[in-house]
Amino acid sequence: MTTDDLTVQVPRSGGWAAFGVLSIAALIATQVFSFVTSPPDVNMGQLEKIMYVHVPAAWVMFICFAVVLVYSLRFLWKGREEDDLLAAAAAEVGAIFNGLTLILGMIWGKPAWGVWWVWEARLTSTLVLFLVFVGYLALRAFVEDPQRRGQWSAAVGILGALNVPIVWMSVTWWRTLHQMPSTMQDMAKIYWVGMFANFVTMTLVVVYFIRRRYEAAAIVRAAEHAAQAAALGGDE
Amino acid sequence: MAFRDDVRRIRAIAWKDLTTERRSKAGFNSVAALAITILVLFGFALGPDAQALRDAAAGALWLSALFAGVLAFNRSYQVELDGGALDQLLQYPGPRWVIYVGKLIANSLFVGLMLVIVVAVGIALFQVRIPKAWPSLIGVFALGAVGLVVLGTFYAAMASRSRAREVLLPLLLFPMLVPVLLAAISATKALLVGDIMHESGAWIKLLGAYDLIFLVATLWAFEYVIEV
Amino acid sequence: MQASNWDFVIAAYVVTWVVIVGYLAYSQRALNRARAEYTRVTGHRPGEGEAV
Repeated sequence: MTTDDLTVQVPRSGGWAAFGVLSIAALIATQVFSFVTSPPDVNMGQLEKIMYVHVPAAWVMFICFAVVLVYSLRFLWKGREEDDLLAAAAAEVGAIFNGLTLILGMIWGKPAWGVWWVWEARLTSTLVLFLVFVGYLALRAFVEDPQRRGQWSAAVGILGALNVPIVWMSVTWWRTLHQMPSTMQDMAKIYWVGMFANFVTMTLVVVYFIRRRYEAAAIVRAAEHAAQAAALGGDE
Repeated sequence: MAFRDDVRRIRAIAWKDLTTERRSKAGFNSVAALAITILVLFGFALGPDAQALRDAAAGALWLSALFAGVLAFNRSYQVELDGGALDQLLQYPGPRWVIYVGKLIANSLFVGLMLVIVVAVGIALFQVRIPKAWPSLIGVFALGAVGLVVLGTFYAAMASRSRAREVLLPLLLFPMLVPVLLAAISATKALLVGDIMHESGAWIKLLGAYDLIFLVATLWAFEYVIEV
Repeated sequence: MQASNWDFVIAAYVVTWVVIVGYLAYSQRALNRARAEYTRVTGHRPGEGEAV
């Protein structure tokens, strides 16, 4: 066994199943609570209830991509395979919630603006971010060697994260020059409690998802290491 | 002195890339022909009304250059890949970024020359009226080309060495190019209609800033990508 | 037209839960497959036996 080989600690499952059940229950609870208690908005009517899933999904997506950025940097710095696997898990979960944010934004947009899509800063940046992370996942799918896959993913993830504020700024400038009005209305204060509560519970669910995806990836890699060790050992 | 060694290595790599390109002139000629073909297809898609074509010219020019340029980026690593020469290249002493800069120079010349042809053909096909500010337009094309080449060369270092390279390079590259393309196309569009709103200056500055940011970022990341 | 807005609100929550439950099922299946593979290769369950 060469020292170049990455090794992976097998993760212990512990109480994660209970955590999963609890976080889903909490999410249902906050959604029901917000749904039932929030009054219709002056401008949007009942549509404001979509905000309780759309906005937390967007915030949670950013958390996932921040995790990708941090663990990609860490992987390039320390070379521990676990960091690469965690970044990849966060990227997958982030991409899912990114897609969800976009779909929910369109479901809100159609009745609110009359159109399914507007080329404004937030939506467009979110779409570009989605494409960046789809590219990240495609890259991982097409590269076999774990060391190469980890380093390439880290580079793509870091540059991708760097690109997000740049895209945001560019699109904002683009809209400003064409004197397009901002399309997102600000939410009244009464909605913020429900929004924040749903954000917290959605974060818990996402933590659970990332953990499960990480576990599966780490176990697969540990199995590959064990198989390799057995094959090498058996040649004697 | 170490720096002069680096400059020497950069020149050697750029020269190597360019001469392999020259010996296979089929390479440049086909890519340029493809760019023109794409431009023609855009003409069919958007024309034949002269004003519609003029409005769309900036976008069509840049996208044609991009789609054809994507081929050039993957091919810039092809020579090393075919001969297994990349491993040999990595054996030589010297920092990795010189390989990157050498390829950047070679690709810049390639894409620059292709752009000249695309713009010339585009002016004719899209009924473009050459504005008084045409020197600024040349600046926009230069800066935009740098952005394309920097990101294209970087991502091709990975895509060219993986499976499904034809789809992976555009998939990775295009979202990253959104700011560069937006700035380049917007500046080009503004200049072509005489820049009444004086917005081209801001876009050109943004384009320059993007080029710098991505050049620094890719220079840093290249070593991690090429050594593995 | 407040009435028809309900359709969109309901659609939003349905989509949200389809995604969450669907991803839950997918990730659990992937984890089970990973555990089965590990057990097949090493002869014991992940987390038991020696630490790697």
